[in-house]
Amino acid sequence: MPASHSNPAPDLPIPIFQVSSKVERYLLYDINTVTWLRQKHNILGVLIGTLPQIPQQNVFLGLPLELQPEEARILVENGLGYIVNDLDWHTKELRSKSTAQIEAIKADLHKDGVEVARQLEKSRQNQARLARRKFRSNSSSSSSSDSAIGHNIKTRADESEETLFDNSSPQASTPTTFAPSNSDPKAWTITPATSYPLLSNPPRPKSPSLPEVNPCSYALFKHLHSQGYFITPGIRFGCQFSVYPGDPLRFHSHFLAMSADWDEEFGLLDLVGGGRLGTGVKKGWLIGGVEGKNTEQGALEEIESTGAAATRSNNHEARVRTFCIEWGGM
Amino acid sequence: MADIDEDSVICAPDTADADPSDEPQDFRFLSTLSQSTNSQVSLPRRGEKDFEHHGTLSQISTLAASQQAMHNALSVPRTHNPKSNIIGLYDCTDGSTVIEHPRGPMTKTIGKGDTQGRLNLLPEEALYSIERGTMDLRWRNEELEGIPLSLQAAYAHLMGCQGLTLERYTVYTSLKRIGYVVQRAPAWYEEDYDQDFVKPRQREQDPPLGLFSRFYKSLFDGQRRDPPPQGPLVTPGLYRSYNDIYRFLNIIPSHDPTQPTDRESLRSSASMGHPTAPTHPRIRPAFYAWKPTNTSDFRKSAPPPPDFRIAVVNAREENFPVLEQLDDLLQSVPYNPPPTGSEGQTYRRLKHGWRNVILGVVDQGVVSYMKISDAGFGKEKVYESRASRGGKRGGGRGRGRGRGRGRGRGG
Repeated sequence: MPASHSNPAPDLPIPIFQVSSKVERYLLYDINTVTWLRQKHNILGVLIGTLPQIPQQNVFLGLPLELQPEEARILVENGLGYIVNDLDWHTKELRSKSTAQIEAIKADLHKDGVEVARQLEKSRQNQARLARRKFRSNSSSSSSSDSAIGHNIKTRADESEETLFDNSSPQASTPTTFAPSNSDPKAWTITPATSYPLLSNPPRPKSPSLPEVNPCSYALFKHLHSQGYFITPGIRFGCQFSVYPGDPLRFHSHFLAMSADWDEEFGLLDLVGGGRLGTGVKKGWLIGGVEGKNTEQGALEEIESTGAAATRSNNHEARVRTFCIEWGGM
Repeated sequence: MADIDEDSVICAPDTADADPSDEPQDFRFLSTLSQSTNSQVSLPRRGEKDFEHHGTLSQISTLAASQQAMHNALSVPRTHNPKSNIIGLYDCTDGSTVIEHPRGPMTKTIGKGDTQGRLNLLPEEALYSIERGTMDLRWRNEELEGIPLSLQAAYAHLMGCQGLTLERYTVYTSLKRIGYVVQRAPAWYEEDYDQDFVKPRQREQDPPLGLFSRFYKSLFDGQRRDPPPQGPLVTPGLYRSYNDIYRFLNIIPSHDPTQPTDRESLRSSASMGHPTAPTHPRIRPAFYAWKPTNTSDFRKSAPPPPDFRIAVVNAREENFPVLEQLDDLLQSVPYNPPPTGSEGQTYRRLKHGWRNVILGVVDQGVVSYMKISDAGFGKEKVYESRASRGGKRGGGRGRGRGRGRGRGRGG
């Protein structure tokens, strides 16, 4: 069942929410933005929220999405996004609302709530009809010896209805006694994920602020990202980044990446350890950094300015070099 | 959503080495999860994934389906039934969250009740309740009355509030989601790091262990003569067992985890505090966690000793704690020797340690848990356990030890 309809692209540039001036973490709340970044710009982030449908598990998580600082930086540098201080924006917006506007917001939310209630009512009716039909067709076709099975199916249908609805209404009516109600159901309340249908879009700052990143790892991140790789935090494998050839929903990661300065020395044992680790999980251990000039002067320049690595790789992507290490096992 | 019992945790399939949250999972499996009729829902096994693009339509459409499934799953709004709605009120002037009419299973483990029957929530408790769709949080101020906070507004206002960092919150929710009861540890704020929240230790509290060490000590002290400074280590004489000789050879001092720590010896003196000024930032457990199994009689106002103490470390901004930090951290948690009856199970005792604490290492929303324990290798004498095995076979040689073991087991 291939999804035919594409999700709407967000208005550009997208706001990236820095939680507050105290907390320098970058979050996204809009699912359309999240899906669009994933499909078009191989930006993944990490889902950190609880999924309200199934809250008691850690495998499938929900919004918000935490962007790695490298990802936020790439979006800002490419003009796709800008950083908004979320707390300041909220405080300012809410203070400036007039009573009329607030009433309008309330009316909007109420309308959505009524819609939710109506949808639920409808699906409940459908479910009931379906269950009844299933039961009827089963009981008519079954002989007396099969009645136990028919009964089984019926109870299963009942159960499924209960599990579907115990989230919403604990007293879901049983399929046989259900009578469609014509009265408007009572409006539900909704906790929206984002604030900006209600508030006006956050203003774009005149001088965009860049998220702070480690210049060394950022250069490698940016290089791999520009090659179309998908990159997630590497802590699960004890490296800086896990590097995927495509969307991690479909593909296994190929590399465990570590960044290093060009002249940085590291122990052979680290190299062997990384190589063994990578080979053990059928991945390559990748080490990369910004290539220094061969002359002494080049090396000096790099030491002098810490931000040099990132800025230079802006101009010359090719200057990031990567090496892949695998355990030979001869 | 409010009605899902906090205790009903979805079990991961029994695969010893594979943690399903290790790799991003295919969201298409989510629908099988939510529509499953069994009460005992289990998570899907690791999905089949591909190594690389091979340009087939089938692969492209599978990927699109996965992405669409993810999109759909994440688009589900948090809705609240008017009949069973739990409404919280957020006051943006002081950042407090109050539930006027608390109900449901959540009230057993989170929040703090007051005399008017209201429930005051900490920022992480409020935020988690919104996130899982349990609570409908609204503004308390008059001009915004009746308007809910969006998830985004709640994050913006509650994160950074009362010492809550995103890392701490990530650890909190990841534990809450799998059913643990989690509370803030007393040393939550940095200014409380110096205070001692651990009850004073009674040194002679563990009868089996105390007996053991005292028994050995009496044996040991009776025969111990300091070797002459110029050697030999073992003076010629009559020895009844090899252990005596091994003890003479044991000249390298080792850390004894049963001894009182600096903190504990300082407790008696008037000035509490770290004996020397720390050169590294100190680490303290941020959360106490209780296993989901014994939460039925859990009282949040008077909780039993926690099963786990969890400190939170940021993987990108901090290095692995140095010895000074680890020592300081371990000194701040109570003495917790290996369980009685584990004598002789060297590996188990070393793993348990004499004090232990969990480090939650957070890298951009992904948590990795590590257990740090004060292992006390010096307490596990390999020659003693080996000799005691030999002693059983060899009759009279290991008499004293045999008695010791018997008593340890009985206790």
